[in-house]
Amino acid sequence: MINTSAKSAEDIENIVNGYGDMLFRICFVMLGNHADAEDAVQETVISYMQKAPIFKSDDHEKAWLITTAKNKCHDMLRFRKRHRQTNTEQLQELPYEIPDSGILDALLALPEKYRLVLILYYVEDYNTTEIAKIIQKSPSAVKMRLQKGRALLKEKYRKEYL
Amino acid sequence: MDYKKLKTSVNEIKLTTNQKAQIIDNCKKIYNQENKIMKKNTSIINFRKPLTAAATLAICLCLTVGAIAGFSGGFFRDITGPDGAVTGTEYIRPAEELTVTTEYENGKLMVSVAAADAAAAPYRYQEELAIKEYQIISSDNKTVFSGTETEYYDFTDGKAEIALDTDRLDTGNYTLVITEFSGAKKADGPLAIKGEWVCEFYI
Repeated sequence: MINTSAKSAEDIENIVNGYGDMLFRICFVMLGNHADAEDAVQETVISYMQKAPIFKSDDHEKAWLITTAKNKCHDMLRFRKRHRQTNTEQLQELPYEIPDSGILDALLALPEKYRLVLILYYVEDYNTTEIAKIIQKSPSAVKMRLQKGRALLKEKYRKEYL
Repeated sequence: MDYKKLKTSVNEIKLTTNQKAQIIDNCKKIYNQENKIMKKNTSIINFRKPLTAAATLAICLCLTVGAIAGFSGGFFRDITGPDGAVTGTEYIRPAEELTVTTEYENGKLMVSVAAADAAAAPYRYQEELAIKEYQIISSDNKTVFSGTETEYYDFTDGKAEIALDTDRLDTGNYTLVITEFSGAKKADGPLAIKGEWVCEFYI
């Protein structure tokens, strides 16, 4: 049974205002589409309200939100794979302003598993052990992904944007 | 490779105020809906408790009524002596199991007894039947005759014809009240079948 009693409607505002941007960034980088990213953030907040987990600290709460958002994005990506109805080129058309940055485009062009690790490492400043906990992989797997992701990003960026 | 540039670029990706407001609004709506559903579920659970109790009570009552109804069809009971020792068995409350009709002919009142289910105990085991206790009540409610055991008559296929002597009765309307029959079988003691059967007759 869903335990919504532990969280109030006020918590929704606190979560969206406090972590909304961070979650949106991660979801956007994972999904490459602002509408889906927005939906993923919303789903994450709903999960937060429904499950009402008890956190040891703010870091714990942030990590939980990132893990949940990542899982929501994975669900959406799986759904996309099974229900190929939308042209992927259309998905790349972003109806709102995205910073005109070649490095961001290069990042979005990478496979999803490298994107997530790179953004958590370079943008959210998590170390490999913390990332391993969030994405539920071993630290060595995270290091491997980081290494390969960096190489792919460099190659992509140099080839297309330099 | 300048990863600071990557961080700066990604950090520029933000939810607009409108998007945040929309997410908050949607989440609140869903949250409120779920709260309503939960309250409904709780009220259903609260409603279920007395409903279950009522259903259980109804089942118990049905069983009890069924048991009583079963008993009203007749049941065996031990006959005990003053010291508590069982001295025999009697069959009581079989009023609906035996149909009694009367017909007056040639100075005798013929009492026809028929068992509703001749194959059921105790009737299937009885070979003869007699009226053990009976009363004849006049139309002005006076007991004109109290009889004890009659002769035993053949009881085949759950049917017996028992003759009662009514020579002493004057012409008029009477009521026969039988309170006990007695069943007999070879090599077995008589079985008292106790109940109340009422028939009216005219002489």
